[in-house]
Amino acid sequence: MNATSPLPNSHAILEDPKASEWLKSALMSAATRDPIEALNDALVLAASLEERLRRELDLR
Amino acid sequence: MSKDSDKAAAGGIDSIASQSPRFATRQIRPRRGGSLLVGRLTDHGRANYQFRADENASYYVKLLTSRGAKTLWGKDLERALSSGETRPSVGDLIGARRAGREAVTVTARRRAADGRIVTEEAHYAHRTRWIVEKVQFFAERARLARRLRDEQADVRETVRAHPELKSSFLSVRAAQDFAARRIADPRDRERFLSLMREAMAASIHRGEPLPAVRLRDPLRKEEVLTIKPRSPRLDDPTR
Repeated sequence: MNATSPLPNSHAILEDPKASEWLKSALMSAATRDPIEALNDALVLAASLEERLRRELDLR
Repeated sequence: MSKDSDKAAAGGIDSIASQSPRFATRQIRPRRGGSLLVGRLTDHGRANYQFRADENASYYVKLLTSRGAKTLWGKDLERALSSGETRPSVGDLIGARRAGREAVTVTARRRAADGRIVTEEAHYAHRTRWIVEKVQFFAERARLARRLRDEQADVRETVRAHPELKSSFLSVRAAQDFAARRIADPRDRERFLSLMREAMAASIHRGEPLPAVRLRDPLRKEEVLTIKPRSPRLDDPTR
């Protein structure tokens, strides 16, 4: 039972009909930014969204 | 001479990296659960520990978390994924938590080149038990735990809405009966019940299996639902 799922690149995500518009929009707006700064911001965003998820769903 | 032993996985996860029929489960030693790791399930499967050829068979779960990619190792991860309540698949947002440790006996055997067993030695080790579910499962458990903690809640309504809590409320009632008979001081009684209720709620919150209380004499439905909240006191917080 090995269900490998390689991380898709930006192009694959933009082409994926199942990917959310929010994600596509974020990817497109990040495309013109410095990749280091974009990833740095994305990590902060991910951590912030996780904090919200834990708070709202009371996950500990 | 080759070594035919089962080794405990290293790397901070005190799980056994392989499992063979020689394992004999001795007991489950409950331990306070670890923190909940949240991430997107990107991959899972059987592999030698740390993907090293000279290590024992194990099971890995790869997660993409907000702090980067993480790989969990442990033989029990396979059971946790395949027999959990929500059975997560790749792409799901999941939570993974170490739920406790299982004491196991590991037999280390050394064999001669012809396969003959030269020595055999039993060791005690621990295998980590995991809870791996979709994140919605843990959110639901948090809701159930709040219901159980709420002493003012209408038990009948709560059990109707969440029948899976019936055993938990039966346990609370059993504790109330015990406290009424055995604990003289009302403050001690209340403290005992509060601790007991909180321990049960915390266990539910962590995602551990819900209690399945079996009664000697099954109660009628009406009896199950007659747990009354304690009378409100003047110093209770306003709701």
